[in-house]
Amino acid sequence: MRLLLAEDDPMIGENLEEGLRAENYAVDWVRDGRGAELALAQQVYDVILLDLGLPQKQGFTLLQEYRQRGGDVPVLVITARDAPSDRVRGLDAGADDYLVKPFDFEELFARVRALLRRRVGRANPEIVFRELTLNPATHIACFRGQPLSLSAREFALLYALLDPPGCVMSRAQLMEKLYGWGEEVESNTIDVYVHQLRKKLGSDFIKTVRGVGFKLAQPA
Amino acid sequence: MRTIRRQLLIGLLAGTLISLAVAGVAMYMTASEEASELFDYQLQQIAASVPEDMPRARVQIGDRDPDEDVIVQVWDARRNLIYVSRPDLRLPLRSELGFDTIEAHGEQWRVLSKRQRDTIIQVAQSMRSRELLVLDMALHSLLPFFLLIPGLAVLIGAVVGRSLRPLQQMATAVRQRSPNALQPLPVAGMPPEIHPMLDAINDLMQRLEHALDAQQAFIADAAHELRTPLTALKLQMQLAERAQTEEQRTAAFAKLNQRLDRATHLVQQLLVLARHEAQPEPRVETVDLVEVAQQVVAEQALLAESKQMDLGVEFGTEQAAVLGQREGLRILLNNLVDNALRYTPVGGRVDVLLLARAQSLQLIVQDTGPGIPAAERDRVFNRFYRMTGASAAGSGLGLAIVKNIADQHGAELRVEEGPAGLGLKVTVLFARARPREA
Repeated sequence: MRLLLAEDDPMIGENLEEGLRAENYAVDWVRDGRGAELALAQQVYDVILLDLGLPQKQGFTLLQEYRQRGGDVPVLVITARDAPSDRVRGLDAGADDYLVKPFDFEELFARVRALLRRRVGRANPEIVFRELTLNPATHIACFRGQPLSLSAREFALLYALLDPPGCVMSRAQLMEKLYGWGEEVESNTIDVYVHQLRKKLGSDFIKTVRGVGFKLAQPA
Repeated sequence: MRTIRRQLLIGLLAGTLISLAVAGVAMYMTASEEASELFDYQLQQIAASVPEDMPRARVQIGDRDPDEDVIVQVWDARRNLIYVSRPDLRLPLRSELGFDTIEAHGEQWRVLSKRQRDTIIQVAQSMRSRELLVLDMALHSLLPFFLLIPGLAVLIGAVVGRSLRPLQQMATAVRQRSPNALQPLPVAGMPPEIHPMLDAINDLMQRLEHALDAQQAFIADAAHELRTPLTALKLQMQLAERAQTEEQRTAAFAKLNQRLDRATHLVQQLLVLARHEAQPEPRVETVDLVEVAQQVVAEQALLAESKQMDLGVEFGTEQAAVLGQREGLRILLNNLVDNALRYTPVGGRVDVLLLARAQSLQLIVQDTGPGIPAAERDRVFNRFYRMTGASAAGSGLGLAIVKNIADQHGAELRVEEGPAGLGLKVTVLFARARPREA
């Protein structure tokens, strides 16, 4: 899952980037409104974390314009302004959730997971597909009732293919979901992870869509 | 301090009484003058009524009112007393005719001597009885005035009380105000004499309200700004808790320290700002800017060295005395130098210059840092302003404090590009201190 982090404070930005990456999210960090605008134009994000007090272009304006252009990615507003009127204004401008500084990482992660769920219309915090169960909160995966040992990247890749289950993802899309800016990536890395997952889940669990990418096989 | 009411009452009553007394004395004197003429006329009448064929024997005038104290004596041509009305009060014969005042029997007498054919008629009246009569007359005519005094006193009391009522109303109105409700006092319906006081109080309350509003806005801003370093602290602490390896933990704690320093710096700057705003009229002395500049540069030399920066001071003048507050000026220059060091990249240069111009002294801090875009320069002195994309974590208060201190010293601040369009140049213009007039 790829997140856009728009935060102007260098220390908070650094912390959020580090914390979110440790949770296997691909994170792109922009420090001002203009950078956020450019990043949003790429349309690759699953959740946007937006500080309202951005320089150059206020987060509030940015959010309004993004929604007017038809941008539908969930936006979690992170701000130090906690007056009820500020929250109402932020939510009415198109934010999906509101988090007031200072906050705990756990709460941030939970809110991000909730937004990711809602984005695909899923209420159950666990993702169930055929005999596979994935819990994004605990990072525990089960296959045929047995715990499945997955690396962080493998988990992230599986999560991407399950969002929603059965979707077709190209290699480029999967790369985007797995890696943020400035992370070292090998060109055949997706194929390596798919290969490893097939070993753990059976060779027909992940189907190759020729010329396009990968998808999870629907139950027979 | 005596109350206005007492002062008015005492003053007005005393004035009334003194006026009455003066009027009484004047009336007594006028009355006594007029009565004197009247009494003289009366003496003439009595003298004229003495029969011409006075018997040459002693006769008493029995039907005379003894209260009148009028004595009649008649002398014959050989100066023998042929008649006396009061044998117990004989008066000597005077050679002059007409009115005279003589002394006899221990008191003053008004005597009229008149020649009638070969006799001399003497009619006399005691001055004391005249005075008693005059006093009696004067007292009778003054009596109504004295009866008026209690009435006047009540009237004066009522008028004074009524005139002072607006003061009472004003006191009540002021008492009803509180720091949360500083609406102006009503001026309408108040006597014009009180208007200046009401206006002054209203003006004060307005200024107080502005100050309180500013204070509240400042506290709100400060609380808001404190959230940022606290958020960074909290997040960093949680990352430190999650650290897997000893190495990660050490790095996390190092960052935790940075964030603590930043929060501490913000709190310190808030304190400095609050202190400076709390003393509107600080003690003023003659401060030598050369000394201040040397002190600040010496203090910052270590930090400059650690960032491999070239920090120096150049004096274009040795006569750099300004009237001001030594500690405030030190903080001003310190913040400017601190900012320059903070935002200028490693290996840069920071100069403190002191120049003398005809009208002003210029204290300049210039650096080779990224500078501030022209569009943002007028906002840099706002509280909590931080430059767009600023890499260093400042409090956003340093320049607000500089502005505050400069304002207190009546100094002007200019923000420009550094020499050759590079970096930032902040100039503080002080009006030249005039030598104190002896």
